[in-house]
Amino acid sequence: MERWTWDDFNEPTSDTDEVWQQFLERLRWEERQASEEFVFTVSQLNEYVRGLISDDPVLQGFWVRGEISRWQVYQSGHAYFTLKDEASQVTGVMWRERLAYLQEMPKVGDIVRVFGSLRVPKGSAQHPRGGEFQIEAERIVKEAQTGVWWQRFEELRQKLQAEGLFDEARKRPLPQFPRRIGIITSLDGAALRDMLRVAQQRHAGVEIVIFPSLVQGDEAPMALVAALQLANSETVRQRIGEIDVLIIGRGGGSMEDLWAFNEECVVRAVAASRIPIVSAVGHEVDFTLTDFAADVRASTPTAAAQMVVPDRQGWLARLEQLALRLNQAMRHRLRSATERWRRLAERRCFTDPTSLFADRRQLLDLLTLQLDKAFGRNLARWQECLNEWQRRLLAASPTAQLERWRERLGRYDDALRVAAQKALQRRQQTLQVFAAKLEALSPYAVLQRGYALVRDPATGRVVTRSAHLTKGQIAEVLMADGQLQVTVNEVVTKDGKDAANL
Amino acid sequence: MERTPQTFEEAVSRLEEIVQLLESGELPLDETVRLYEEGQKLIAFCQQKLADAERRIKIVTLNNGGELQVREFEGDLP
Repeated sequence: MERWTWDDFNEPTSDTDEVWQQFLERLRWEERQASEEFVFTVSQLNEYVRGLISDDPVLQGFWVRGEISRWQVYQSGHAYFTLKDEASQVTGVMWRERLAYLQEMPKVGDIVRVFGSLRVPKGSAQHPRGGEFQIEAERIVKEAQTGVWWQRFEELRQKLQAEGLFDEARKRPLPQFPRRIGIITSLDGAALRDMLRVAQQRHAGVEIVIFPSLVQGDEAPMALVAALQLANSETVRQRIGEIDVLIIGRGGGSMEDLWAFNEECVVRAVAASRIPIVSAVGHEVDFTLTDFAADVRASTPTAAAQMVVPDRQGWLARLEQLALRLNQAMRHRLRSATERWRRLAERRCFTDPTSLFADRRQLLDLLTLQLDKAFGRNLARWQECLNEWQRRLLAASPTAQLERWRERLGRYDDALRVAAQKALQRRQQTLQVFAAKLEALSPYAVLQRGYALVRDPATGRVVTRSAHLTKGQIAEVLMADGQLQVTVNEVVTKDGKDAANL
Repeated sequence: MERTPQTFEEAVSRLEEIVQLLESGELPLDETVRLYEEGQKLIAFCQQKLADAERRIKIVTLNNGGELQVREFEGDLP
């Protein structure tokens, strides 16, 4: 054994517990060897082994088949025997109380089935014994007509095996979760009750279809074949539904009882079954050719049901486990996603988004610069042109001329005003002269000087000609201080024509 | 591809596949979520199948005329 080092335990693995246990056992082993504190007596050792064997449930009540190679009934009435097969042998005892029930005393060479328990005989001071075990037999059943049956069995087995009926390659796996289970057995047997009970315990919801059949006697082989054909039939598939798995079997019995399951037609029908099939014939020790032809052999009908009917609790537990793993995986995935987002969010491009554009910005700056340069040259030229035009435009502006004109106008204005005043003054003087002259010419002024003015009152007009008046006509004579109304007495016109006398 | 499971076995094997896929942890998040939801549906489907505890035991025989006879199993279970 290799020596363990602590390094082996540093890595926690799923095997840690196991490795740890091995380590502890090794420690104890070495400790005991070193201390020599505890030393068995021989009796103690045998007693310990006895305890082990008598506590083992398998060894307390089992069937074993073999050939009787020694059979000896002692004076005491107890029978001592040896059972053997090709490679091994075991001794046994049958107490006289049990012996009394034997229907037929076995003899050497018989093939028998023995039911019993294993025991380690206790020695005494007179008869020290031990270090060996023996069967304490309850029942010994002689295999009926052993020779003949075995011969037929063996011949048929070899024939069908040669045909490939028992090939491992033909075996199909059983469905993990059949919805519908077919059972071919007797309605009266304990086997059916056992199977239904197990099915009820494991998964009450599973559908069970029973195809009743005789399982013993001359008519049993044909009945079994018919039931197999019925279970596999299209009619059943349509009316009942697909049978997912079949169990064919019966309870324990003698080889003769079980013989129907060794009949060629039955074995062939089992091999031909479209539906996967489990054989469950008799007890653990019973082997039939049906067992070889079936996809799976179950040791008993109970075992077959346990094999086939899904265990509801087990499946629920498995589902729960899967659900747990599903949730854990999801949680883990979400956590890692969250973590990833958090890491991403901490990256420069998110905390400092401008950095993402730094390169592009730089490029942009560069391009702008080049663009400016290219434009700049033209721009300068244009600017120059513009300046020139502006200058010329300014030079051509009418403002200055206008100003000059305004200046000149100002000057003309003054001159005009002076001239106008002078002209006005001259005219005023002239007017005064004329006014004086006019005054002198006024008739009223003349009247002052003694002249009179004749006016026709009818018309209001001044009469300047004597002929304009006639005799007897009334006229007005205007004088400086008043007027006279006169009647024309005589008109004397000078030159005889138009002179009139007032 | 997500599809409705036909049988319990199909559902469980798909569920196991999904759990293993998710546990590998290498799928994109939306795929993970999709598979997770499918897984939940499969679990519900399977649980529903297991929840069914109605006893269904039939006896099927052929009568003399060769016709299929189906009757309920009346016997008591031990």
